[in-house]
This record gives sequence, structure tokens and C-alpha cells, in this order.
Amino acid sequence: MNNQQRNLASLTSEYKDNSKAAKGYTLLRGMMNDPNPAHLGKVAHLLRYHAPIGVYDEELKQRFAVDQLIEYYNLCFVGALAGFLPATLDADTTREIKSILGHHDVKPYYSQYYPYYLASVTLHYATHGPAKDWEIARNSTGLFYNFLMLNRSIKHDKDIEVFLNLLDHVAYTAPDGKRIADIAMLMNALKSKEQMGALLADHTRPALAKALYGFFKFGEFLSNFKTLLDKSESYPALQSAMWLYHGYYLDRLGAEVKTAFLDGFKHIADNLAANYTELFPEPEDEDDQEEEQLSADEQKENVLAIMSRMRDNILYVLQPRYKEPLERYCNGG
Amino acid sequence: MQDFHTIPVQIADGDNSQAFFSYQPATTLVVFVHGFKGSALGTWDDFPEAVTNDADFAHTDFIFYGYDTLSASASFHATAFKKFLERCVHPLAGKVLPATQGLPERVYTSIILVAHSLGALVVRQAVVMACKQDAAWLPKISLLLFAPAHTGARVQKLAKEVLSGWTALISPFVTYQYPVYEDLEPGSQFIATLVDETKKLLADKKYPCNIARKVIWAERDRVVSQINFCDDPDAELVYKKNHVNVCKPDATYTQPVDFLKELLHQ
Repeated sequence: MNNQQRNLASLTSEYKDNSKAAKGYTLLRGMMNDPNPAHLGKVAHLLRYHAPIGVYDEELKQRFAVDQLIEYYNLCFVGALAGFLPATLDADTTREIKSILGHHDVKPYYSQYYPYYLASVTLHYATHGPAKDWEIARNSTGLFYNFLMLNRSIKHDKDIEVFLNLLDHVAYTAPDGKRIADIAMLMNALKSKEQMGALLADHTRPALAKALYGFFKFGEFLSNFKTLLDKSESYPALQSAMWLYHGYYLDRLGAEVKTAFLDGFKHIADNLAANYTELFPEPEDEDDQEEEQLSADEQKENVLAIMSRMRDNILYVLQPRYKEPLERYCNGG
Repeated sequence: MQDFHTIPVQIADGDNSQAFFSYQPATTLVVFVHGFKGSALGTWDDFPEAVTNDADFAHTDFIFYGYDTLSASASFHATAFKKFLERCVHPLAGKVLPATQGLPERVYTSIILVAHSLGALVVRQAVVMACKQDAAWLPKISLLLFAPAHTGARVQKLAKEVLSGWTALISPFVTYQYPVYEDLEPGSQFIATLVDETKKLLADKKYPCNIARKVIWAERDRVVSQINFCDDPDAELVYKKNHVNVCKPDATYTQPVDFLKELLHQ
């Protein structure tokens, strides 16, 4: 087995065999191969739009498994662009991607009902192969590793999930019907030192506290993602694929909810500045006091400068220009 | 081209812990343990990329252990880490190395614990606990400690120093509301007990693993008390680095990786 074959085996172990993706594959393959005419349309029914017939319980779990499978295929594509896997994937993997992502009842799921453009690009890649002008990121497997590791920092994170839901105007209510978290409540919490302190220290972590933690975690993710995109600047196709992997959220954030996110950021910066002395009290020992007195104002300015850079990083990451290289590839440009 | 290790494998223990297993029969395990408000990988910056691309580490497995520093006391984190470490000694049997990766069981001759700041408290306490149980793997253990907080840290400064990441913005709003802050204070009950237990173990001369093999101090560290811990050797000094970046290698700062290599080759 050569290195890239071993890498594919390692990727498959982690993202297919050891995840729900394996179940998703077995499920879809079973449905697609079912010879019983009465069972025709099972794939289409499972992967339907959630209205008028809602999706609950076991079906939700099955769709989640399919999502994981699509994620695995997308990672194969990103891995190929990163030089981690062969630029042209092996025949078995290619055949599998084409048979699943190219299936007439699967396509509407990711291209129409819940648009996730990268899945279309992955299918295009499996069908047509790499573009001639693609610069494969040889000797840069580290980019792929960074990408995988960064993804994990937000995957299945309940705090981020609640925060993104609030951005999507979801409101959380207690069993008695009382509203306990919405986007306005989150903004107010970010303005108040006392409320922030109380929420962050609440070990029961109610929905609003989750959203608050999620706000910081998602901001951290975007900052780190910006660093990764910068490192990938020499490889536009890889950069584009990594951006599109998170495209669903980044598009939504850029188009609809950027203002709310940046408002939250301004509130926390104002909060820090207004309460700086209290949040960072003078040390008690004399040596430290001397050092602090010399630099307290400068340090406050530094803190605000750091926050300003963070804000700029967010705006930078949200630029839709990152989509363009792979859009051109799919459009034959 | 990376030729030596698996992709980052998700570890169920801790918080976003991840591992790189050598495709070769591995003889060394290196476990990284971050500090206050750090993260499994973020604390170490380019460390994963540097070591997985280096032929010197072709027979080495790496685990980047994560834990939510604010969630519990240092003792709690140390106990959880020790339980995890016990399973790492035979990672396939311990279900740390997934069977689906198709790699054989490891027979480690060396286990290096690399810790930063609060991580040094966690690691030292875990080793002390293992000594009390006379764990068979203790002779394989060696410690590499960056800016260790094992003699205490100035918590107010710590909160400010780490104010370079988003999640760290949380810390000034919750200072002193978490148990781990108390543990970090110089002279805390946790540190006093740790020193006392370590001295007793060293007096028996049975567990030299309690003496760190390397301790790294940063010139611009204003956070931790730079006082020698028990019988640790004199610290290696790193200039123009602070508490946060002393353990972060990059293209121009390769000393952290070099320190690890020195331990690997000893």
C-alpha cells in the first residue's frame, strides 16, 4: 500500500467506518438496490424537503447518517486537492461517489432542498476529474490536517448550535412557555458585565448561556479559519473547497445575520472597555503595580486593537469571493 | 508530503482530543496537555504539523489531549487524565487507537508528557497518583514542561495574557468563579499537597519520573512563578517569548520541537 492509499484508508476509517456515514451508505445502497417495486421512491421520501411532511425521530437519524456520508465524500475531494489523496481518486471511491451523489433522488437533497454547493462540486470532480490548471498543494498535507482539526472544534458543539439558531431567529422557551433565549436577549447579555459574568458562571448552562459561549466559540472558529484560508492562498481550488465546506453557514452569516453578529461584537468590546479597570484589577504586589501603572492604558488599547483585528478577520472570512474558483470549475471556466 | 502518520483521529476522552498514530510500529508516545483556557491543538500552534512531517518522529504516536479547564478543579482534570493515560499505554486494547485504522498494538518504550502552564499541574498530579498505585508504565514516563504553573501563577495576569483568542475573552468576566483559579494561586492547597507528595516519592528514590526531564521558562513570562519544583533540573531559558507563545513553534521558532527531539533521543 503506498502512502496515499494508506491516507485514504485512514480517512475512510475515521470519517466513514467509525462514523454514522457507514450506516448512511448501507441505508442508501439498500434502498437503491431494493428490487421490490413497492419500495420505489424510498430514497426520495427519506431525503424529501421537510414540508409538508415533517421529518422526525428515526428518519432524522437516517438523514443525519446520509449527511455524514456526504461529508466523507467532500473530505475525499478536499483531501485530493490538498495532496493528501491522489489528485484522481481511485476507481472504487470515484464509482461510489458517482453512484450516491449522482443518484436522481439524492441530488435534490443537497442541490435544491438544502443547498450545499460543495456536494455538487464533489460530484462534478468525481465525474470529470481535476481541472488541468489546479495547483495541488503538494508538501502541504498540514493544511488538510489543520482543516480537519478546525472542523472538529465546532462540530456537534451544542453552544455553537444554540448561537447559530438564535442568529436564525429561533427562540428558546421554558416548559412553562416563558422565553429564555432569543437574539435580543443575547445582545443585551453581551452589553452587561454583570449578566455576562452570571451566565458564564452558571454551571447548569441554560440556553442563553450556551448561546453566549457559542458566540465566542464561533468567533474563535472564524478567526482560526481566516488563518487557514491565508495559509492556503497559493492554492485557490483548495481554499475554495475549504470555504465551501462551511459554505452553508458562511453564506447565511454573510447574507443575513452579519449585522447581528457584529453588533454582538461591538457590545462585548464596549463592555470590556467600560469595565476594564474592574475586570483587570491592579495587582497587589508593588513590583507588579509599577509595571501595570506604566502600561495600563496601553494594555487597554491593545485589548481593543486585538478585538478590532478579530472583527476584521470575521468580515474577511465572509467574503463570497472564496466560492469563485470552484464555481468556475463547475461552469467549465 | 506527510508519510508517517494517520489523519487526526478523534479521541472520545477529554475535550476535542486528537491523535496521530504512526503507520510504522511506534515505540514512543507523546501526549500534549494544554494549560488554562487552552485547547487540545490551539495551544500548540504548528506542533502537530511540525512533528508529523519530521522523519525523526516516524515511530512516534502523538496525542493532543484537551479538557475544559474551567469546568472543574485541577485534581478532577488530573484524575481524568490519569485514567486516560492508563488506556493509552496499550492504545488498541484501550480503544484509544481505533481498530479500523488497521494498525497493530503498540509496545511503547517511552512515554513523554508535554505540558504547558496549568497542564503541568494536571500531568504531575496524574503521575503522582500513578506512583501511589505503582503503575507498571511509570519507568517509561518523562516530563517536558513549558512555562509550568507547578509553583503557582498570577491569575489576574493569566486572564490578561491569554486575552488573544475569542474564547479567552470570557475569562475576565468570570475570574475567581472557577475552582481551578484557586488551584493556580501560589501556595494553594493543591500545589502544597502536590509538592509534599512529590517530595515523599522522591525521597524513596523509586519514581524518578517525578523529576521533569526538561523545564522551559520564557523570558517574558509574567504569569507563572519561575521557581524550581522539587528536584527538577535548572530550566532551559527561551528569550523574547512570553507565557503564551513559548510552546508554539512556527517557521522561525523551532526550539519547542528541538526540546522534544532531545528527549526523544536521550
